[in-house]
Amino acid sequence: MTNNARMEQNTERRKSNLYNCEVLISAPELFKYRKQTDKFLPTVGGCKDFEPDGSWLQTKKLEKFYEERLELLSEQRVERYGNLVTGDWDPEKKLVQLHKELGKFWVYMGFVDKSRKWLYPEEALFLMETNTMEVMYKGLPLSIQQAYQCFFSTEVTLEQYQVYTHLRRLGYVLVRHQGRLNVTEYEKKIKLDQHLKSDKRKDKKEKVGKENESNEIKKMKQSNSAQELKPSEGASEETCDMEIVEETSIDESMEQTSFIKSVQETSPVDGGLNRIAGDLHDDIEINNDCTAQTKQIQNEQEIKTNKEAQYTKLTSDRVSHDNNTRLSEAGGDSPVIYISYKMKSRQKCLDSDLSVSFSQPFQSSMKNISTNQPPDWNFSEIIFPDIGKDKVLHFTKYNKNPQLFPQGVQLPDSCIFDSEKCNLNLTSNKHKKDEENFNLEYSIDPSQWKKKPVNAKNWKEYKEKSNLLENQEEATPVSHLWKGEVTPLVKPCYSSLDSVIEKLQVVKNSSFMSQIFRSSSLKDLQHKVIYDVYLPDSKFKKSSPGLPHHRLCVLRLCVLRHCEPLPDLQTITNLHHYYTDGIPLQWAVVDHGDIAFYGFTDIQIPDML
Amino acid sequence: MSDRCRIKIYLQNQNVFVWSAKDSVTLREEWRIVGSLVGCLPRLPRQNNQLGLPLQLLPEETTMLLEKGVCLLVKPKENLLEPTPEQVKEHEQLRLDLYKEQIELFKDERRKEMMHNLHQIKEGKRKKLKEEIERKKEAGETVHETDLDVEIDIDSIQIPPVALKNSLVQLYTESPYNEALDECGSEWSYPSNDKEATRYKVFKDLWKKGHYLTSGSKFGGDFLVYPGDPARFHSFYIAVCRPYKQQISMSDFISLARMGSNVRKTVILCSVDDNDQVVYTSIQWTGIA
Repeated sequence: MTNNARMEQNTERRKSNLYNCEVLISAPELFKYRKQTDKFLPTVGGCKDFEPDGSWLQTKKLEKFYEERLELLSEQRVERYGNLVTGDWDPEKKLVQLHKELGKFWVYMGFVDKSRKWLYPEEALFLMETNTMEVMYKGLPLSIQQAYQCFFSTEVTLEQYQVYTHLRRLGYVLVRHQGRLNVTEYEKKIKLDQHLKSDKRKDKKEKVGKENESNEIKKMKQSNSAQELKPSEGASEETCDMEIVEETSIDESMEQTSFIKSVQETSPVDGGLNRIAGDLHDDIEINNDCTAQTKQIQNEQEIKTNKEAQYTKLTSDRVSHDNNTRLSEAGGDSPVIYISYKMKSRQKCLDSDLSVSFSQPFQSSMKNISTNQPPDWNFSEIIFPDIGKDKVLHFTKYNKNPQLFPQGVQLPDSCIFDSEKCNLNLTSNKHKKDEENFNLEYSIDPSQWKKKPVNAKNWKEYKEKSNLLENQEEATPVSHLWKGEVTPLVKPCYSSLDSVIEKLQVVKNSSFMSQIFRSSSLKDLQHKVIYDVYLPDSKFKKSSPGLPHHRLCVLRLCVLRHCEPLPDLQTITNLHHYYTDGIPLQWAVVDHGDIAFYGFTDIQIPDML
Repeated sequence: MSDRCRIKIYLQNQNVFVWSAKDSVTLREEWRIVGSLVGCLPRLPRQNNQLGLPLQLLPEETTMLLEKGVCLLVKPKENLLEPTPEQVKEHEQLRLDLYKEQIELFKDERRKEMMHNLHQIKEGKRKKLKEEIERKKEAGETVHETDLDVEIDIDSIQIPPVALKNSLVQLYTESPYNEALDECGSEWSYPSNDKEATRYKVFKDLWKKGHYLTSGSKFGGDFLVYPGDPARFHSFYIAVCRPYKQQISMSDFISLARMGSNVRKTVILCSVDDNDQVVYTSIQWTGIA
């Protein structure tokens, strides 16, 4: 409908001072929008031609395109009144206060402050554009044009909104950047992050992204969190039990994973290493100056291992041994503590791979080797297979020489050694090794998952019991020193120099990461990370969104005044390394409505020599 | 051209938008100004293939339209109009009026629907009656068979008015209010430096030659040059603006040439010479071995 026709239909309202009748649509026209049916998308001009040749066909095609375009663009936003959510624009806070929430969007958007519900301007504007919301200002609904005028500021720029709305239209969920989440790549890989509460993590979220927010919003949020605290204090008695349970279950699952891993690793080695296992075990026990804590772990693991076959003992002990040393190292290494599990035993397994593939055919007999060795080896008589020459070795050839084999062992006829296959196995194992070679780090405090579960009915009982437990753990030959009023600062469990220094607070540790973070250029860049992007997920929770799918920076490509150049490579790489979880950082480049996404990725150039 | 006839373009936070559908169509069809649509399409808001109003203009487009006197750059006098109580009342009255008008329309619609399905309704009623008669017969009552003919007078049926929550309301894209606007063409300072001046001159020159231009950021150039409407034709050239007297880094030059041959477009280096003439040079990777 043309504007003139609209004017005529609105003759009654023509005198109005408030309304421009060219925009306003009348009841019959509103009524035409009632049917939801033909909501198809017209094609954009169809298949393109090479160049204009002035032909009748081309002119007609263009005319048709223009016709459709006019119709499409003049279409108005009309919605059923009952489907609309309403909110009030607050120009001081630069937020929209919701009257009532309705529909699914509240799952992805907004926040609450004392029982008031707020939406960020970009969220509100997106809802306005998708016909789900009407934002009022002092009783009059805002048009999208007015929203463009007053919603944007330094906090939310047009470019940021354009990126936001672009991805929201595609279905992604965007949350304002939450800062570093401090989940390690390993935790992400084993999906531990989905089970861990954020407050359990040692180094809490550094809410850098939130600094973007105006003080007003911050205050609101603070007051809100303070409010939330109060009831939770009261409730803590009931909830503490649950939390303890949760903690221990994490402990267990973690120990299990490492345990299972170790089992998997050792299984191919089989009994060959059995004896060494026993020896090593003794060694470790002697050498260890175990603290009470770690002893307990060892015990736990020993119980487990006893149930299993003997061979697993070796690795589980190693793991626990590893734990000990690392634990004591890590103990003083705050504020950021990463325990790195380097499964050294893995190396050994791989080294012995060749022997493994040899020995597998006669697994059953292996145990006998150690006891029944041939009396003497005359090497001039024994012909060893030439693996280099023949690609496939048939062992039946060597079958004639019975003294090569342990007593009572007969090679099956089909026993073949394929060197090519073996090589393949080796290389694939190598890949596996590379894959698993990265640090198995945890972002949580080790004491958290080393805690022994305490069964208590209420908070008081829990405290008493855990106090008791702590004292018990510290039962050392010098425990009497802690009985008096003056107690030593250093406990025997501080086995490393670092932990002693930490306790005495002689030298404060500083980690490399925090140093990078302090550099000013990076801090500036922190503000460039605008959004955390999540894939559409029905289980998405605003309060604990988990790890994003990727993070988003917004750059404006623009000749007009505020062109933002790309930061230097050092800052880019630093920024990428600042996030420990390995989630990709994307850069959205916006140029007058055109949006393109680019990403920087660390690349490992293969060494060809 | 008087101020009234000129197309209003809005300066909002340093960006320029067209909010009227009619105006954006005029700009495209009569003035070969493409711009880019950046809003959600009202019909299908959750997709990126086709977008809706507003139309965002390039700074070059804005400057040229202002220069030609086609458009008037405006911004509201006040950032946000404080509505008076009368205006709020007027808004509420309008909503109410539109609702009341819709009641009748919905009633007519319902009536038409009933008219359309009249034979089905009659069939249903007849069936019901028959069943009732059968029941009565079984009970041993005397029945008049003539009752079977059903007459329905649609006009006499009472149709309840449509509920308020089911009534339709318009969500405003373009502002429907008569706001006081400030002409702010003097605030528009593009081009403000040499680089921008070169870009603007190149833009204007290419436009004058009858080409359609869009932003060239997709390919790392300044403009994409189309022989006809971009919806119907592919672009021929990638225009790259360079200062007339500055050396070009060899690697830049090579990457431009190779990129151009990859996307099958001609890369043209554009510049303004000492006589203020726009000069064009095309690069081709010839591939002579």
